[in-house]
Amino acid sequence: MALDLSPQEASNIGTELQPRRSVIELRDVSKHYKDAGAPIVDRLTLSISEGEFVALTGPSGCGKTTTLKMINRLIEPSSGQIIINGQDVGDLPSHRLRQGIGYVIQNVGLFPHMTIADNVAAVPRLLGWKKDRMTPRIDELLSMVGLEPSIYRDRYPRELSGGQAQRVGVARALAADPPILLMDEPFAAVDPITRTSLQDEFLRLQQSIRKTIVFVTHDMAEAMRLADRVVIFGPQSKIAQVGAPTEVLSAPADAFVASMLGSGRLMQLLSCVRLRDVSLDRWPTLAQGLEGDERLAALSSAKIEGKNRVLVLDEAKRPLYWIYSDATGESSKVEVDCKLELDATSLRDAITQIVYCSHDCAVVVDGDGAFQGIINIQGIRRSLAPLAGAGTSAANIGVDK
Amino acid sequence: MSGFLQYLHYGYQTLLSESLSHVLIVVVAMLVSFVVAAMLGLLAYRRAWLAEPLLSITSTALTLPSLALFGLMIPIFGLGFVPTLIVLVIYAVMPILRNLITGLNSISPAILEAATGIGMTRTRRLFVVEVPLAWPIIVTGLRFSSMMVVGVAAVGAYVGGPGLGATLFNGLAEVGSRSAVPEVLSATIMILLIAIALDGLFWLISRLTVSPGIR
Repeated sequence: MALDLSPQEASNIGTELQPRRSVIELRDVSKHYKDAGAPIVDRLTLSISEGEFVALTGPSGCGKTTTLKMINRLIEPSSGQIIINGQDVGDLPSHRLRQGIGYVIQNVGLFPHMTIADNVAAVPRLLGWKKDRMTPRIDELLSMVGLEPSIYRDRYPRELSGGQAQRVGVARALAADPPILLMDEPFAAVDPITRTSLQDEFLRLQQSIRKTIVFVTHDMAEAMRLADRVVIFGPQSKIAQVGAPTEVLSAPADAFVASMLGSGRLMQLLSCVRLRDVSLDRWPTLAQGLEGDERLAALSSAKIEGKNRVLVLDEAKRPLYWIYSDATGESSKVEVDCKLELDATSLRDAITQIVYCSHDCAVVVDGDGAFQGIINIQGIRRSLAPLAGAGTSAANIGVDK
Repeated sequence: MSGFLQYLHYGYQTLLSESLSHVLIVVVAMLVSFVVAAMLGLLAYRRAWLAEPLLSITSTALTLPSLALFGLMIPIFGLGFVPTLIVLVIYAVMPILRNLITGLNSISPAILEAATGIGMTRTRRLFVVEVPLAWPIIVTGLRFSSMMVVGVAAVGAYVGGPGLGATLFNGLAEVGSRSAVPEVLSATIMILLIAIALDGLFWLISRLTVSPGIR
């Protein structure tokens, strides 16, 4: 990644480079149908690591759904090999293979004649679970996807909204705790507002369950928002680009990928990059309780750096307020009105906050509220410059030519 | 009117025993037909190309006049219970099979994909997902079929079959006599009552066996 990295972050990336166990491996996989000339999937090789969230995306007919369905053998590949946990998928009876892989589809496909509880219990029942193990698991899963078990357990699918049905679809896929989850356009059939909240919830859920996920979507923005790695299928069923969302957004491999990303690229990039990924600016600080000379000294050394205020921190390094010095040497307190969290805030959110904040910069804190640095518009531009690629200014990368 | 009551007074025993045998042959015919239709339906489910020809044969068969069909049975099976049963089954299978195939074909592909995708075998999918979902349509087929069979069974008397047809044909054969009208009338009323009772029975079956989720 072409981002400015602190030494600590760089060492994190070092550990990430350790080869993680590959869970799903596609080796030279092709699929062609007799009546069609060109193959729908053409010699695809892809390795997916444990706990990784991979999105397959591209225009319709590019082979992304076919690829997904070859993993659980709903479609048999014409040639090539698919390996899951070191075992060829063809070695198992297909229904056994599928019982070990969670599957969520666009139209949800809940069984309308079964209650919500029975729908969720479908796979455990196939695996022969006992009732005393099944009932608590159903309640656990319903709570996990945000549906109160006592209300929804005995309802039927037709009594649910689209968003609720999709939650049940996710719960059903997770019921037997499969290590792998295949999702085929799972959020495409719901309205945009529900979709966003489902995506957020699903990301939060994934934080705790850490499944290996293969996710098909035609919506580039969705892929960028959710996945750790994005596989973009191009024309002629070839892979056009594979990479982390920030990599793809900052350096599209070719004109095709750039056109798929569209003109909202800069905003998408800003949404993908979090404050923890960029270098923050320092700012003079002052411990709470220091008065008189020490305060004056801090203010004057700040002035030498060209800064008209210092940030006062409490003993846990939490920002309290600004102290300004004016021309007469008097100082005044001003509340900190813009505090951003290092891990949770994207650059896009940061820009919005900074625009409304009264100090043209935002104070950045970590999860415990301790001061980490400040970020302002110049800082954001600076961190975007390497992302924008050689010879392009940050302001230009979103513009199609 | 008094003639009718008088007839009932002397003939009620015949009427009751004929009603009973009428119900009996209808029930037997329905059971046999259900089994035959289920087997043919399963065959059409496994071999999709069979569905179309089976459906067209079944609808053509329904246009055959029942009297002709009964007549054709005599040289092969003679008279009595068996030829009547065979004709009834030929008629009853049609609507059941038709609705069975239609019902199974009407299930949303998304549901089928989900069932296969979570790891159901084809047989399991058929019995846990497809048949329950097609069940309301299948029961409607059974209900319709049973109505038809109650009527056609009366014609079975033509080949010496059991049931209310005997009294009916008797009455028709002696039009003008005192007993003609009461015979025809009472047999017809009994046939109607049997039909209504069967219809109610299938309504009850459907209430009890169709999942509230798809009712």
